This record gives sequence, structure tokens and C-alpha cells, in this order.
Amino acid sequence: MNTIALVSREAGYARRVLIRDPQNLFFTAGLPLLYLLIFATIFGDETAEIAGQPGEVDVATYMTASVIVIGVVSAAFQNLTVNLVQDREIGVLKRLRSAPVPTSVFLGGHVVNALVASALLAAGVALLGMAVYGVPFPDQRTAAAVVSVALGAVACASAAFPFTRLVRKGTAASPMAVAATLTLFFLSGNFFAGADMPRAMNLVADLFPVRHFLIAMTTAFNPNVAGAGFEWGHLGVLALWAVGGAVAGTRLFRWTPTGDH
Amino acid sequence: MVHLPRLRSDADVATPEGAPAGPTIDLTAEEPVMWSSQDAAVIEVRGLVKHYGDHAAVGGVALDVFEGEVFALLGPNGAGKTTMLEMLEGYRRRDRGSVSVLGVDPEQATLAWRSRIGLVLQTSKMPAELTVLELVDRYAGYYPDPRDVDETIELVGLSEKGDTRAGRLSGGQQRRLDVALALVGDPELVFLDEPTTGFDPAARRAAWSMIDNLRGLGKTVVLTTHYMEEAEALADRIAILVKGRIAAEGTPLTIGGRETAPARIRFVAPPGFDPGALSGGEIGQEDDYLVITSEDVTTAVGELVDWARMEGCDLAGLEIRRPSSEDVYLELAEPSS
Repeated sequence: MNTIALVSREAGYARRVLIRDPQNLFFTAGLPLLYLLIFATIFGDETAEIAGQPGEVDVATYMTASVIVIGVVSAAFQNLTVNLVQDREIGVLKRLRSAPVPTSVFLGGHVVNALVASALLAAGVALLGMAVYGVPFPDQRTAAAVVSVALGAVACASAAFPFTRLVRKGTAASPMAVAATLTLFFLSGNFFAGADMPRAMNLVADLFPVRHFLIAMTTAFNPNVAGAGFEWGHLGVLALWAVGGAVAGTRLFRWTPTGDH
Repeated sequence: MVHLPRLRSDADVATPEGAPAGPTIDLTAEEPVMWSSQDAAVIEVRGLVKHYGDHAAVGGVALDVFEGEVFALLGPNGAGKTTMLEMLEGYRRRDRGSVSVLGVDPEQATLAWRSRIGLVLQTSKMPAELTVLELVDRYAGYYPDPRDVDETIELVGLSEKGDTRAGRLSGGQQRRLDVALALVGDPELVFLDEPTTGFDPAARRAAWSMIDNLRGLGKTVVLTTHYMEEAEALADRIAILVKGRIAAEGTPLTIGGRETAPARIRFVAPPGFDPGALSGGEIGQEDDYLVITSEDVTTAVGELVDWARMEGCDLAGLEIRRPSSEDVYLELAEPSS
């Protein structure tokens, strides 16, 4: 079987594992929708000025873009980290490793699965925002929104691979992944439309994918932006994370439980 | 290809001059007990050592496993069986010694090497959400020349369970699924780590016949177990591992030198019996029985029969036995003081 066929098979198995676990599915797909309902309901009538972007934006629009980012990060990074670490620590990956499966094929399948899940999730959040809170359709910026979601998803999934090496216990995977992402959501401004973040916070946040992803998404959803709305610089950083994470992740990836040596 | 158990001949055993006959215990473990075999060794282990902290899990092991044989590593819990197997499988790194499996050092394992090996780990772990069919098909996809998926599932007796998720199978069924995953790549060499631990007797018998089928398919099989009964039923050759060392090695018939070990002859002592009447061995008493332990069974039995004829004794409860393989194992695993 060639590599592309193998990767797409792996993606299929990863998808089946995800959708056949109702709890997992709820937390991956259901929570972002719930977040949007909460945020948009609280701040629904306000508008905010977004740093570096023209005009004022409805907070509901900003929150829709932000919750897409939160959803993609939770599906492509958090969920993937937890699943990989748990499967590694209980020995599922060790068992899989007995077979001649290239690391890149196995991880590639997870990237593809994360990409598909992220696309569906992003579409769901966007539709909810448009239907319930009157968020405007991105129109000529639709391509920018799609590319941002795709690059964001791949960057998050790729970042999950080296991150799994930092987690040494199955039970630590979820708290560590949540701590990392929640911190980045706060630092990147996911919860505060138009807030002026201290410069130091921005500098820290700029090292990681979340803030770049958020800026790319909010630009794509901002109706005041003229043109195609591509944030090439920020998308470039996401691409760097995607490539760097994939390369480092493939080299560092561990199949056997921590302590097996 | 038919493989008969290899019997040890005297010429094969390098016994130092003057050393007592009996179990060959290889203390230096630089060289294994040699076997008369035309076959190439599929596995060659020399001077293998593995420590966990100060504890030597494997303390100097040498062994050869030949093509087409079923080889059992037998030992109590904590003897180092799994550590040793995992060093052969490429999961663990050794501290010292050399290992060659199918001509490759497992620490330098490549995907091509993995495709020639099938294995079952000590515990069966697989994604609970995938079905039997999906899992076997998934593994089949990794190998260059896999077996037929349905046929492999049938081989382990799970045809009825093809659409059942792995998480809903019983422990025994999961174990059988694990064996299917080990076999679907049509490997030359199969490692089975405690394939039947936790099975009920019927499931164990079924597993045994499955492993016997592997022999029929010409596979080389290395299995670990803590049951001598299992090793005896399945293996052409057995190595008993105790505290990280091979304490004895041989066929089920010869392990521990049991075929030539002193025999115990026992019978109910007739009233007024004079122990001086018999000289063929060491005489003792156990409850109501007299026990003669003798290295020269023919003479001892001959004398006993002559004596019994003369005395008109019917030798009630007469038994003549050499140590069973189980006796050999227990003596090595838990030496009595």
C-alpha cells in the first residue's frame, strides 16, 4: 500500500475512534458550541475595536472567530495530546509499534483526522454564529478563513506530537494540555475582544501558534477588512509550527510507556 | 517442514572433565548449550545482561533458537522472562551482550525487520472502539505480504465476532484477537508473552491447539510461560529462567537431566521389614512408605523384585518414578533447603 493510502486509512481509524466515543465527541465538538453560546450571550450587544484592524466589530463576531480557534485547538491539540499519551501509557501504541508502521504514517493519519474534525467544527461554530447572532458571512475573505482553519489545525496537531514527550503519565495529559492551552487563550486574548494586552504578554503569546491563529481568524471574520483578508505573516508562523512540530514530533515520538527502556 | 524435537546427545554437551553429570548450568553464559542442528539459528543471544537500578533482571543469558522450533522460556514471576523477550523484540535496550534476531540487532530494528516478526505482548492493549475486522485489516495493511484477513480471524476462532468492538470482547477473546494481529503479517518468527495467563482450562486448550497450528505453518515460536505443563505441551525445547539466568535447558524429556536423574522407588513397608535386605540405593521412610532413591534403577528394581519374591511380599503401592519436568522446575524455581 502506498503512503497516501496508508495515511488516509490511519485517518479513518482515528476518526472512528473519535466518533465512537460519545464522551470524547461531546467534549471535542460540544464544548466550543457551548462556549460560543455563553460568550455571545454575555457580550452579544457590544462592539469592540480590534488592535491593528479597521473599524469596530460586534463582539459576537469576534467571539465566533475566537471560539473557532478554541475549538480547533481543543480538537487538534488537546484531544490529540490526551489520546496519544493515554494510548502510549497503557500500551496501545507499543502494541501498534510491533507492526511495520512508519511513525510519519501514523502521525500523518492523526494530522488528517485533526484537519477534518477541525473543518467540521469550524463550520459548525460559524453557522451557529451566523444563525443566532447575525455574524456576517466572510464573503471575499472565505478563502482566508478556510486557509486559517486548515493551517491552524495542522499547526496544533503537529505541536501536539513533541508536546506528548513532555507528559509522562496518562493522568497528567489532560491537565497539562488544558493548562497550556488555557494559558495561551488568556495570553492571546481569546476571551477579551478588543482588550489592550500588555506588550510582554503579546511577546510571549507570539511564540506560540494560538495568537497568530486568532489574528488570522478575526481578520477573516471582520467585515471592515477590505480585500481577501489573508494575514500572511501570521499564517507563515502557523506554517512554521506545522513543519517544525511535524519534524520534531516524528523524531521525538515515543511509542512505549514512560519507564519502559 | 516437519521438525522433531532435538534430543541431546552426549557429544553435544561440553561437560568439563570431572564435572558431575546432570543438569548443565551455564554460569558464564558466554556460550549456550550446543545442539546438533543443521538449521541456522533464528535467534542468537550471548552474555545478555539487563539491570534495573541495582537489580539484575537478566544476569547473563546465552541461547539459540532454531528455525521452525517452538521454544519456551519458563520461569516464575519476576524471573526476567518479559524483560528478556522485550530485548529480543526491540522494545528494551540491553546493558551488555549481543542479540541477533533474524540476523539483525533488535536495537537497530527497521520496518523491514518488524514485518518478519509477529508478537503478542504480556497484556493485550488495542483501541477499544475499533472492531475485530477493522483491527486485523489495519494491521494487515502495514505488511508487505499479509495473510488473508478473514482467514486469520477464523484461525483464532473469532469469525462470529468480526463486527464486535475490541472493548466488548472477553479477556480470552482479546487475547485471541491479539494473536490474530501477530499472525496477519505472515511473520517468520512469533513471540508470545504468556499467551494463556488468565485463561480458563478450556480456553487454554484452545490456545494450545492454536499454537500447535503455528508449528504446522512452519513458524518459529518463542513463548514465555510460568506453567511447566504448558511448556511441555507446546515446546520442542524449554529454558528455565530463574532470577535472570538460565537454570536448565532441554527438551521436555531431558530438561534438568531428568531422564538420568536418580529414580524414587517406593512401596508400602511390610511389617518387620529389614532395610539391610536391599542395597540398590539409599533407603528412607516416608509415612508408611519405604523409599529407595537410586541412580542404578535396573539393579535396584531387580534386587527389590528378588527380595519380594523370596519374602512373598506383594509390594503394595509400588511406584517407580524419575523426577517429572514439574519436579525439575519447582526444584530450580524454589530450591528446597
